[in-house]
Amino acid sequence: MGIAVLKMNNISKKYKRTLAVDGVSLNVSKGDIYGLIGSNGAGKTTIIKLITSLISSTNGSIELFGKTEKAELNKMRKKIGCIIEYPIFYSNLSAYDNLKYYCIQFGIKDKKAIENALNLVNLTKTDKKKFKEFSLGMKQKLGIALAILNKPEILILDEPLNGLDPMGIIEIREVLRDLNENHGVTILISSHILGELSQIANRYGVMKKGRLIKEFSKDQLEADCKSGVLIRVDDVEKAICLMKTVLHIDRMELYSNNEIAIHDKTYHLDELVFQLNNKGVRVNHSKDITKNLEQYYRSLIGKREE
Amino acid sequence: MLSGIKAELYRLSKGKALWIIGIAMVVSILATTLVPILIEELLAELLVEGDATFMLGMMNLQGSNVANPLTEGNNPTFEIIKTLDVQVFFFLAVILSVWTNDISEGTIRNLIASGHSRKRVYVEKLLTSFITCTLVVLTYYFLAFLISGILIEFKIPNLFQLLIIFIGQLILFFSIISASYLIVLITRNKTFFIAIYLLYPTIFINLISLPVRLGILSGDLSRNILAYTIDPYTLLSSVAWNLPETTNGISSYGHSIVVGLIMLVITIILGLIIFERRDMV
Repeated sequence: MGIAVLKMNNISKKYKRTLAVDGVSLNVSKGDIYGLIGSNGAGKTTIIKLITSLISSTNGSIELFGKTEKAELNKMRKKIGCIIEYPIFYSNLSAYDNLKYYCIQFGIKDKKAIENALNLVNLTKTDKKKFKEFSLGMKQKLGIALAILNKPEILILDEPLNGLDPMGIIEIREVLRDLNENHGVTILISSHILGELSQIANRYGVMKKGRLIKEFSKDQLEADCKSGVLIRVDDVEKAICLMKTVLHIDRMELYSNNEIAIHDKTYHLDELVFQLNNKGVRVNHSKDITKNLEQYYRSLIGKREE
Repeated sequence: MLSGIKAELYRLSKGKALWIIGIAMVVSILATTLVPILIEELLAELLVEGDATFMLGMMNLQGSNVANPLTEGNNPTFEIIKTLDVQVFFFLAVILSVWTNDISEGTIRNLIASGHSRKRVYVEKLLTSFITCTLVVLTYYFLAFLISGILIEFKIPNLFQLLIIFIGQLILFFSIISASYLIVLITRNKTFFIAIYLLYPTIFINLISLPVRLGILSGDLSRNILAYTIDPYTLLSSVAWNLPETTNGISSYGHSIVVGLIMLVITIILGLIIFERRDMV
C-alpha cells in the first residue's frame, strides 16, 4: 500500500435515531481507484459527505493528506474534486458560464481550464444551452468537468455513471483511467454499476447498513472469485478417471463439447493441465472459472439486505 | 473573499434578477410620478362635473401624507425616494438568486465540498447581496431624478438629506437581507421563504404602518405598539418620512438606525453559527 491520502478512523454519523454510518475505518492510498460498493441506504453517500465536510461526524476523525485539524482539512479539501449524489449547477447558466463561475471562485487563472475540462468529457458543443435543458448524461459529464476543473489530487465520485449512455460510460471510464494512470489522481468512486467498477477499481470497500463489512484489493478479489477451472479435453472419460483416482478431485461437472468444470479452487490451472498432459490426456482449452464482482458482492451481503 | 464576490457578481450579471429589478424600478418610479399627475387631472375634471363626494376623497388622498412629487415646494426626486421601501420587494430577486436557490437546490455544496470555509461562503454571499442592494438603491436615486426631471422638472435635491436617508435606509435594507438569509437557512424551503418575505411586509406596511401614517391611530398609541418600533420594514419608510431634524413622527431617525444595526449584527452572528453547524444533507 502507498501513502494514505485519505483515512477515516472509526467514523460514525447519526441522524436523530438513525445510525447512517457506524464506526467506519477506511484507507485510500495515493494512486488508488477505490470502489465503494453497497446498496441504497448502505451509507456510501454519507461517507462521501463526511469526507467533503457537508455533514459533520458524530464520532471519529478524518485525515486528509495527513492533516486532521479543521482549518487544515479545509485547505486539503481544495485538492479534492467531487460529485455528490447528482450534479447540481445553476439552471439558468450554460455549461461554460457555470464553470466560469467556479473558476473565479476557485481562483483558477488558466484561461484554457474550462475548455480543457469540457473537452475531456466531450461536452464542447453545448454553446448557450442552459443547464436545465441538459440531459442527465450531459449533467453528469458537466459534474465530472467541474470535479476535474481544479486539477484535483483526489477525485470523489458518487454514482458518476448514472444516466450515461454506453458510449458515455466508456468515455468517462477512459477519462478516469487517464487521470489515474497519467496524472496520478487518486479516485474514490461509488457505483451501482459493478461491472464498470470492476474494470477500473484496484481496491474495494463493501458497505452494508452503515458498516464497512469488507475491504479487498483487485488481486484479492480475483483470488476470492476463482471458483474452479474449465478444461476441454479430447478424451473425457480418461480425463475424469484420472482426476478422480490420481488427482483426487471429486467435484466435477460434465458439459457438452467435451468440457469439464472442476469446482475446486485449490487447483492451479497450469498444474492441472500439466498433470493431464503427462498422463496422455490432451487439453485443448482451459480457463479459470471466476465469479464477477456482482456475484461476489451478492455472496458477501446475501441476496437482499432487507 | 474578493474572488467569491466577483464570482457571485458574474453570476448575477448572467441571470435575469438585475433585469427584473431594473424594470420593476422604472415601473415603480413611473407610477409614483404619474399617479399624482393623473389625480390632478381627474380632480380638475371632477371640479367641472361637480361630483363632490368623489372629489373630496381624491383631495383627501392627494393631501394625505403619501409621496407627491407635484406638491409645491417638494423636490420631485426626494418625493419619489420616499417610496423606496417598496424596494424590499425588488431585493427578493437578489436574495433568491444569490442565496435561496443555493440553499434550496444545493449548489452551495459545490463550494463547501471544495474546501471553502462556511464562514467565508456565507460572508461572501451576504456581501454580494449588500453590494447589489447598494447599487440598486443608487440606481433608484438616479432613475428617480431622471424620470421626475423628464416628467415634472429637474431639481437637484438636498444632497445632505439624501445622504442621511441613503445611510439609514441602507442599514435597514441590509438588516432585512441578513434576516432573510437566516430565515432561508432555517427553513431551507424556497416557497415558504417567498411567502414569508412577501406577506410579512404586506401585513406590517399595509395593516400597521399605513393606517398609522394616515392618522387612523393617534401618535401616542402608535408609540406603544412594540412591533412598530422594532420592525425594520415600517422603520424603513419612517427613515425617509421622518428626517433627523424632524422627529415629530412615529419613530426617530436615530432609533431606526440603532434597530437596523442591532438586527444586522444579531442576524449575521446567528446566520454564521447556524450555517457553520448545519448539515448540508
